[in-house]
Amino acid sequence: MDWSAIELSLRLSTLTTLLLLILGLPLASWLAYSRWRWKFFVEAVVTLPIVLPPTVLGFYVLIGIGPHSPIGQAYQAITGRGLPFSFQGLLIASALYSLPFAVQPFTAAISTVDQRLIEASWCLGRGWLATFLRVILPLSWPGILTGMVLSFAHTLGEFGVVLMIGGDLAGVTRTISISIFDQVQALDYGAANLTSLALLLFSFLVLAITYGLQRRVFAVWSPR
Amino acid sequence: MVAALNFHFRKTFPNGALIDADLQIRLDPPTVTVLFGPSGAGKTTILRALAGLERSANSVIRFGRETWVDQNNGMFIPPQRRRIGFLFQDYALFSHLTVEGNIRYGLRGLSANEQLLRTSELLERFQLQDLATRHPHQLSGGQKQRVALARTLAPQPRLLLLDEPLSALDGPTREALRGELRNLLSSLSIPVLLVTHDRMEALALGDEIAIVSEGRIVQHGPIEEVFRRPLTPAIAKIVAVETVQRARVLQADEELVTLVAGEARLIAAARDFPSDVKEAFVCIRAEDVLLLKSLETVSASARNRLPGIVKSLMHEGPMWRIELDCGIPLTALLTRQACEELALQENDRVLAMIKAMNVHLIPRSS
Repeated sequence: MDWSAIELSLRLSTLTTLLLLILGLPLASWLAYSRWRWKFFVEAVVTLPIVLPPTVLGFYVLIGIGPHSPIGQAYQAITGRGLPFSFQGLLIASALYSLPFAVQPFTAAISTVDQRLIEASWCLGRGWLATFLRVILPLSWPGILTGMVLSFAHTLGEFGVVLMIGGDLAGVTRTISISIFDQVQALDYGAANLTSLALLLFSFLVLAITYGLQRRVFAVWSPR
Repeated sequence: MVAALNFHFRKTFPNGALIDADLQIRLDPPTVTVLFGPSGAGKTTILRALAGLERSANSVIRFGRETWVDQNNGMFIPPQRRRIGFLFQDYALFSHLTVEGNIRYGLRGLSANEQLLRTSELLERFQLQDLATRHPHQLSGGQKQRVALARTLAPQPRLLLLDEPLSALDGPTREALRGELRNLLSSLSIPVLLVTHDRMEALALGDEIAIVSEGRIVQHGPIEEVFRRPLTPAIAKIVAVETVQRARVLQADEELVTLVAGEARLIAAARDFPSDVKEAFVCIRAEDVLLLKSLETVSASARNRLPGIVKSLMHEGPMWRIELDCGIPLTALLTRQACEELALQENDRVLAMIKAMNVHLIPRSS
C-alpha cells in the first residue's frame, strides 16, 4: 500500500476541512441571514462545484493561481515558489471543490435556529459574535459536523481536480485516488484493490459514525 | 420634566399592514401599561419596535433622557444596549442550556461569584432551585414561564416588555399564574409594557391601557376609564362593551342627558357631553345592569328603570349572561346566586336598573 499517498490524502482532507470551517461558517451565516436581493448569485456560485466537471474547475483554478495570474504572482513574490503542482495549490483547489459540501449543510443548520432565540440573546445584551458562539453554534453543530465530514470525505475521494492542479508528484501531490489510478495503470490490481477497499471502508465508517452520532444528539435534545 | 417613554413608529410592512403608533408613558412612578386589541392589530410589532427588533426609517423613541431611535439623524441603539427585558410569547428558552444556564445567560460584566449569587437568588425567588439542572424540554408550561421571567429579570432591565405572557399556558395554570404575575409586576418597580388580547388579563395586570387597532393607538388611559368610557363605538367593541346603541338626545342640561334609544328612554350623566350634539351612542356594561323581578323595590340612585323580557340565559364562567329586550337589546351579568334568587327563566318579565353615571355617551356628529 502507498502509505505516503494515504498520509498525504489525510493531511489534505484535514486541512481542507479546517479551511472550510474557518471560511465556510461566516459565509454560511451570511447566506442564512442576509436579505440582499442578489444573494442567489452567491448561492449559485457556492453550489457550482457540484455540477461542474472537475476538469473545468481544475482548469480555471490552474489559470487562476498560475504564474500569469495576480494570485500566482503574489505567491511567487512572497514565497519564491509557484502554486501549481504544489501542496498549497492543491489545498486551494480542494477547498473550492468541496465548498458546497461544507457551506450547504452549514447554512441549512444555521437557518433552522429559531430567530426568536437569537433575538432573545440580543435582548439579554449579547452581541452578534457572542450570540453566534453561545446560541447559534451549539444549536446547529450537528449540521456543522455533517458539513465537516462531507468536506473531509469528498476531499479524500477527489481525483480530477487533483490531477489538474497537482499533477502526480509522489509525496507532494500524489493523493490516494491518484495512487490507485497509477496502480491500475501499472496493472497492479492487487494493490489497487487493497487501497480502494481501505478508502471505501474508511469513508463508510466515517459517514456511519457521523450519522449515528447525530441521531443520538437529536434524540437527547428533542424527545419525540 | 417628568421622565417618560416617548414612542413614535411608522412603517408599512410587505404584506400591506401599516403600523402608525404614538405612545407616551410616564416612567415615574412605574406603571404597567397594557397594549390591548384584537389579534393582528400590531401590538407585538409595537413591543418589538421598543426592543429594537423592528426598525423603521420613520420613528423616534426616547427613554427618559436617552434617545434610542431618531429618524432625523439615523440614530439607532441596538437591543443589546437598551437594557430592556423582553419576554417572548412562547418564552424562547435556550434548549441547549439548563434552567440555570438560561438565567445566567444575560449576566455580563459580573464576576463568576456575583453571577452565581444573582442566579441562585433568582432560582430561589422563582422557586426553581430543584429544577436548576433541567433542560427546557423537561419543564411544564408554568415552569418555563418562570424560567423565562427569571432570565428576563436577571440583568436588571430598566423596562420590561411582555408579549402575551400567559397565552402559552393552559386554562387553570393561566388563572393561577395571573395573580402571581400581578404580584411580581407590582413588586418590581420598573415600568412594564404588556401585550394581551384577553380582557381578564388586561384588567388583572394593568394600571393603564392603550387600545391598539389597525396599527394605531386609538385610546390610552387608566384601565377602568378606558373600559368604561371608550371614545368611539369601535373601541367600545374592542373592549367588549356589551350594549352599544344609537340614541337621540331629547333633553340635556349640565347634569343629565335624556335620550331615546329604540323604544327605551335613558338618562345618562352629562359629564362633558357637548350640549349642541343631538345624536349619540349609549354604552352600557353588562355588570352595571341590575335586575329585579318585583316592581316595588327601587333604589333611589338608579335613574334608569327599564321593564323588559328575558330572551336568553347563558353560562359565562362563574357568571350568568342574560340577554334582555327592554325596548333596546340589553345584556346583564349576574352571579349564579343572584340568578337563583330571582329564579330567572326565559320570557320572564324583569326590571333592569342602570345608574345614570354608568350610561356612557359617545357623541355622534350627524
